[in-house]
Amino acid sequence: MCKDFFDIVLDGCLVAMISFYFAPDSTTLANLEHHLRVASSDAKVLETMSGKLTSVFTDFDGISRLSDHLGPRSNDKASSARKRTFQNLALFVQHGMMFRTLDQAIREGDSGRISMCISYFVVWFQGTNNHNYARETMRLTACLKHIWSDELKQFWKQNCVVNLSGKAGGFVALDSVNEYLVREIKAMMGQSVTPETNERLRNVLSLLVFDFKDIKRTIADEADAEIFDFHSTPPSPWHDIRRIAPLILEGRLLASGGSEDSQLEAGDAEDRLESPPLDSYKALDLFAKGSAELGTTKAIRKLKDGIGKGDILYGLDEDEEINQLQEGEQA
Amino acid sequence: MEPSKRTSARTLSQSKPAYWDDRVPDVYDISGNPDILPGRSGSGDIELRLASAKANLLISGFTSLLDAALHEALYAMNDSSIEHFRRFCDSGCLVNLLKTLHEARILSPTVQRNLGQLLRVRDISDASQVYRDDFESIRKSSVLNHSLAQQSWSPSVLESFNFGSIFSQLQVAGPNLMALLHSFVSPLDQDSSKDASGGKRRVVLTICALAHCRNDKTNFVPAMISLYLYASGVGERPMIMMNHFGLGISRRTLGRILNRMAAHARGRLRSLGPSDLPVIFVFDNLTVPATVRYARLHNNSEFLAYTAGFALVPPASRRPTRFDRKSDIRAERANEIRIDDFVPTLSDFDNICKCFQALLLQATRTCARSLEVTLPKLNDKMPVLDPIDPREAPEIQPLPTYDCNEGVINEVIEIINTIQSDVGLSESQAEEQLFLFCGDLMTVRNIRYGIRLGLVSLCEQRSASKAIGMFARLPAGVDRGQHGVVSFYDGNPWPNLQKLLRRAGRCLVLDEVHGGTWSKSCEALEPNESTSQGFQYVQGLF
Repeated sequence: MCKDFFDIVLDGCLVAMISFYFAPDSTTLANLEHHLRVASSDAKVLETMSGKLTSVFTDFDGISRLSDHLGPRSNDKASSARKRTFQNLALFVQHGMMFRTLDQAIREGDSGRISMCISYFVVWFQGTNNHNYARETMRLTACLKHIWSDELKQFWKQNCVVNLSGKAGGFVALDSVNEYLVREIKAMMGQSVTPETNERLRNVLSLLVFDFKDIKRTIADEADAEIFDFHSTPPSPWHDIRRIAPLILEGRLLASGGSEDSQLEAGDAEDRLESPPLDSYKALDLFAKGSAELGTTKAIRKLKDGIGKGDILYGLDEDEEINQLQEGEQA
Repeated sequence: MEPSKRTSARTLSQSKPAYWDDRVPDVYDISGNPDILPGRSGSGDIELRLASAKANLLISGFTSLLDAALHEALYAMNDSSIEHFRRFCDSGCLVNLLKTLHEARILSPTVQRNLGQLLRVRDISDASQVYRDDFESIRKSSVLNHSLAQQSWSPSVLESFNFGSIFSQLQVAGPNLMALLHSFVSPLDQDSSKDASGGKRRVVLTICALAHCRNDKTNFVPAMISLYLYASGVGERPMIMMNHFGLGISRRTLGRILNRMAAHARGRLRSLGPSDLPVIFVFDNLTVPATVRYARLHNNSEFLAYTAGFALVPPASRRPTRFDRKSDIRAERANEIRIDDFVPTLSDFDNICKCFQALLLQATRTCARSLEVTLPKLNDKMPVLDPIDPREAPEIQPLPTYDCNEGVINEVIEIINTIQSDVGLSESQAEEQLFLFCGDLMTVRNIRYGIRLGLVSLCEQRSASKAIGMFARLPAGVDRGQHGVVSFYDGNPWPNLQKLLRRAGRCLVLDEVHGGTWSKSCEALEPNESTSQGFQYVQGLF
């Protein structure tokens, strides 16, 4: 549910960006259809659009400073707030697209793309308070690049996600499979738990969860009953996207703020990203802050020290970890 | 049609007529040969004899042989005639005659249809024994006699559950009965393209219900149906009803089948350890509220915390031999770790650019589709870097659900110990070989750090005895080969620890934090002055 909501918001932002690229002066999606019809005869127009927008969102070193180079040179409060809002939006789209890339990579079972996303997440987590994820992604990267043997690396790459259905887009993470297992065991729990039912559940029925799944699928196939793979078609997100994208445009987040910019041609989107509404929230540029944190090499030295001592699995700040575990147990 | 009575004069010639063929013998006496049944005349010259008989019958005022037979039946039935008719019918000659006439298709359509119906009725009544024999043969066929409660469960059992295959095997066992039943569900229109699998399914279910009625142990298909219902969470009462309808099995039999399936699953789990297959273990917490209807002082609702997981065996093409702790973990390469290992490479950057571009084009396509704009072919596919073949599914063997809470560190040890015994890993295997444990962050963290930190935590809480107990239960293969650290705050746990470690035959290295000295063997582990003065760390090398 959360992911659905996130996807809709992200798609709304992307459509707003696309609309702004084609029609910088428009605050609605009315002109988008016209521009898409024009572009429908020439794929290069769309490829140029995607290339230019990609260059904005993959500017990992400068996306948080992008607004400094764009728009009016005035340094008044309103201008800086608009820049900040644009920066927040650009960072959200960048982070969202990275998350969606990882999501698709997992579903399609491409461990190369998963590793690629992790290489960015390693940097991102360094600048956050998510120390556990920072440490785990760093450890995994170190293991994949140096510590593990080639066979072990290959084994991890080929089995980090699994496909139970045999379909091209049916890969899931191992923990998701376990979530399914947990869900099925919970469903088999009776209304009242007695020692006998508990014992039977834990030592008999739990072992058969995937057998039950196979039985259900086999019988359904034999009965020609399409109760599996009979997913309902999700409602088109377009109706929601159509509401979100104009909000971004109507809020003049991407609209021109000055009359001197009104003659710019389509494709000069980057030069028009300067009139956001006032907003005080400032999103964190994970890559910039993570790079800075990584540059201190503190985390790397800690990891190396741990592994150097033969402490391959650990390499952690012991006091910090003890505190976390104790807090966790108390909770 | 009733034949009209003849009015013409009937004269019977006592001598041979002039046209009598001389080749025909004067006498055909079959009375002395009882083996010759009607319709099976052993003599030749059939045509000549029939021609002679017809000629005689014509002279006698009959139009044909059949006409003469009818008149005999109508007007001249005596004992001898009855006997002749009886013998004629009992030997199948009447049916043979009617069939021949029917197959010759010389009759009018109405008569042809009536005669056909008459013959079918006659066939079925005669063939009831044949159908009974067919049914007995079907009932005893191996395809219906997989008694799941008696045999061990295996994946091949599920593969053998195929209505088409069962139907074919039943056809071989009892072709007549299957043909009869199948004729009921066959489409009337021979050219109909309607799928016949539904009809076969119903025929098989009918046969299975009838066979189950005769013998409770002939229950393969009913057992599979009951298993399906059970797996779908159907309650007990509907299952009893299905059993009484002949399409399900009893609760007791179902229980036996489930026990056999669980035994097979346990056996498969135990075989993983000795098999040398690389296995990945995944587990996670399972927490459910155990609510009570009327809360009392000593009867409050609480949460039940279990741990559920599975062992994943990759498909054959994706599994090398099992990994070794010494050769597959290259700790000495830690010095090669550089900062640029953690920075995305240029190749990563190129690929993420392609991915972002694909996402933007996907969004454009979604937008265009909604606006009913047809876009040209766009390259909106993400780059494929290191794909995994989706066609090869791994084997997943669920573990028993453990009555342990993975959030409690010392119970993690128990979980891992139990997994070790459940999958049949020996001590040496667990110490030398390497297994991947996967799960959420808490699971991984507790496995990785929990054992060591649990000891520290317990010791710092002045629970040295618990810590030593936990130390003894350290699972092989999880923390061995690594370092376990025990810190003792005050107290003097050394004698017990020494005893324990001597029994385990393990080497210890003593590290005095303040003294900074290492390298003491197990025998050197004696309480020293520093013990009572503050912390002391013992690094156990397993």
